[in-house]
Amino acid sequence: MTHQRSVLVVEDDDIVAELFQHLLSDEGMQVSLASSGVEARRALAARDYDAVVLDIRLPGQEDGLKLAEVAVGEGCGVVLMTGDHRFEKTLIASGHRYLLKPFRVERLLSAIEQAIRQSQQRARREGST
Amino acid sequence: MEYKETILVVDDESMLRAVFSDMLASGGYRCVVAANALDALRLIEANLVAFDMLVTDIVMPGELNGLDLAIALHERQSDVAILLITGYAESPIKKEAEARGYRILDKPFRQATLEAVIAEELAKRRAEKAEGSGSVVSLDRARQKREGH
Repeated sequence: MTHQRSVLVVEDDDIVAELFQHLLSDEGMQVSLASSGVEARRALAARDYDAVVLDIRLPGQEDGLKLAEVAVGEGCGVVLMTGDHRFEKTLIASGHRYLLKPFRVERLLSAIEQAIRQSQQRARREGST
Repeated sequence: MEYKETILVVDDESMLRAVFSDMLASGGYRCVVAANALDALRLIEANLVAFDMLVTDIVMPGELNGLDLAIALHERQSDVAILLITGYAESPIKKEAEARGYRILDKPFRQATLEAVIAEELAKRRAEKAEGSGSVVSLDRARQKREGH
């Protein structure tokens, strides 16, 4: 039996959050929602997630990259998103999986899987040192 | 990973939304449903997901109509297929939608007709996209010609 993926989505727009919930639950993932960076940090501290999906610009102008590093520290895979394609170079440099909006749902699903594999590899490397 | 075309469905009638969802899911499509035009517009403006098709009722409660949604989505995702549904044969919005070249389906219709029209519009879209990628072939041909093949 495959392990059910647990994904934390950081999204302040309730209708978009609902869309994420619908799309990812339909694929058998367990979805949690955080409407701000602060809420996401609390959620990350409280339990383990396989992956976090977040925009590079969080509500209240909080830096998504900083939150991404917190998520990595908690052993999560990270998928960053942006609708502003000028940020693409920053996203490439971050080393995280990223998506430019609008994206196909399949790309979201595969980015989540790749981000989880990336975090597992990171954990194995850290475990072997 | 299984590829599924993603369709945004907008209808204020809950029974029709349920019919659409069941029909599209069993047809192998991924269906995103909005219960009113305002929610649909918020989804469109968020521009998060690339939709393959919009299926929407034209006349809905509130200030927005299906044509407004079609135009808003087309502005952001120019290659999306559009199907507008209406029970008002003579409405000026329907005439405007026709003038813009959008496909319109009059109510009442049979489920088989709806399925066929959706499949047809998506096939048309796929063909147009394939035609677009045909330019790669012609560029390749031009290169071969230059190189004397």
